[in-house]
Amino acid sequence: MYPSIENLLKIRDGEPVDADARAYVEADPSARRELRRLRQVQHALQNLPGFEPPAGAWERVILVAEKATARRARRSWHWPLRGAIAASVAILAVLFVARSPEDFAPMGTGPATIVADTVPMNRIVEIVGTPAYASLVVKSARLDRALDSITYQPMLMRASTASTITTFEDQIAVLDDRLMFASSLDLSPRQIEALWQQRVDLMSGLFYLRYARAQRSGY
Amino acid sequence: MSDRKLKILTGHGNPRAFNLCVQPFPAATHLTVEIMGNHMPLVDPTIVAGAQRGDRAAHARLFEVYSPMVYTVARRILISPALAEDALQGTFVEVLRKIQTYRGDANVGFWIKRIAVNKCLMHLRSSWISRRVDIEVPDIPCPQSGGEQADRQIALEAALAKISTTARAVVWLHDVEGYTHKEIARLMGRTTSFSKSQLARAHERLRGYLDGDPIEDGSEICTPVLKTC
Repeated sequence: MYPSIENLLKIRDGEPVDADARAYVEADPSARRELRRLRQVQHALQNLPGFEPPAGAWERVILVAEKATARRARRSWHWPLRGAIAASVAILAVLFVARSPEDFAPMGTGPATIVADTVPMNRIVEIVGTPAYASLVVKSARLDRALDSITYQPMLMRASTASTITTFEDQIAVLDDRLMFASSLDLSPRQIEALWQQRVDLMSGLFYLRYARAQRSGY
Repeated sequence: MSDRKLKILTGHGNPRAFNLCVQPFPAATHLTVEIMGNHMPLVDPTIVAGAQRGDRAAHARLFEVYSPMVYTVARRILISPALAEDALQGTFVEVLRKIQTYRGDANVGFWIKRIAVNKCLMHLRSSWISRRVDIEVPDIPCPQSGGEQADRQIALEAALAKISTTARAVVWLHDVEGYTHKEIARLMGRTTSFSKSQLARAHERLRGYLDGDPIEDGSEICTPVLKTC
């Protein structure tokens, strides 16, 4: 069978080739002619004249190289600055997150806030009976203030996030109603303490959710 | 010209035969290494060392010696003079930027040529540039001598310009620059079989154009240029 051009090229380049193809080329004058032609084309390609670069090419290379160097120098100055800014922001964010949500102290409007703001701690302990109970009331008040400090309201929100926030707020509203009417509902101090504990837990959850939303909007 | 033959191991360990010869260059006489008919100019190691130290004169010398080689490779692969100049510029900007990383284990010319080939292939990979290549009319350099040989050269130049850019790059890198199919495959991010089939296709097309198309009048289709080596 007449060898393919691929096999002829292999023979031309001294690469391993099928023995039948090689035997055919040796026996067939037209295949030998084709092989010779491929060698001539390669030789002709190798002997094509070279080109001289256009005038002023070196000056343009220098210009482009200098611009690139200047750009890199600017970037190399920018990156440490950007890095420093990013590091400062990260440190501030870490410090902000590391603070307990109760540490936020803007004015709050929740029921516990009113109690915590207007009544001294020892009086609260006196009223509610135990320091643990009093601590829950104060924590709850601080959480109210912390939540009020997050003013960011996203234009768009995932339905699941919105639904979770609504659930938290509904449950907190129900707890506030029960705490408001604790005496008429005849709840024991232990039950009231459990309600405050639930309120603190819900408020913490709500705070972190809204805080995370506000953080994400910053990027 | 000396006929002494050297056996040199290339960067990839492929033994190839080289001729050591002295070739006249436009500005001066350089020692060159010949690979498959192509002459690779050699520069004094002090020039390379100077370029690595940032010596502007050494940079200019490297450009003077190697820019014809780079521009020729770029013109042969990309055809378009504008794209070839882009590749030339990109190559030497990279040479100036990375000359400190050149370790001196091969002739600096091969190192520069490798950068140039990469730049040309990058141009070919760009779809925007591929379209630009299609609409540009290549100019074909006039042969040094007249007669039948000159006609054949013009016909070959025209045929080379007509085949697909990938096939042209493969045929040039393999048949002229001496790259192996494995090296071409790696440069193009393809397989060895791809390189082999592209080479076969290129030769089929070249044969078709050389046998079938009548040779046009050389004075109308060629552009005078200087031969570099």
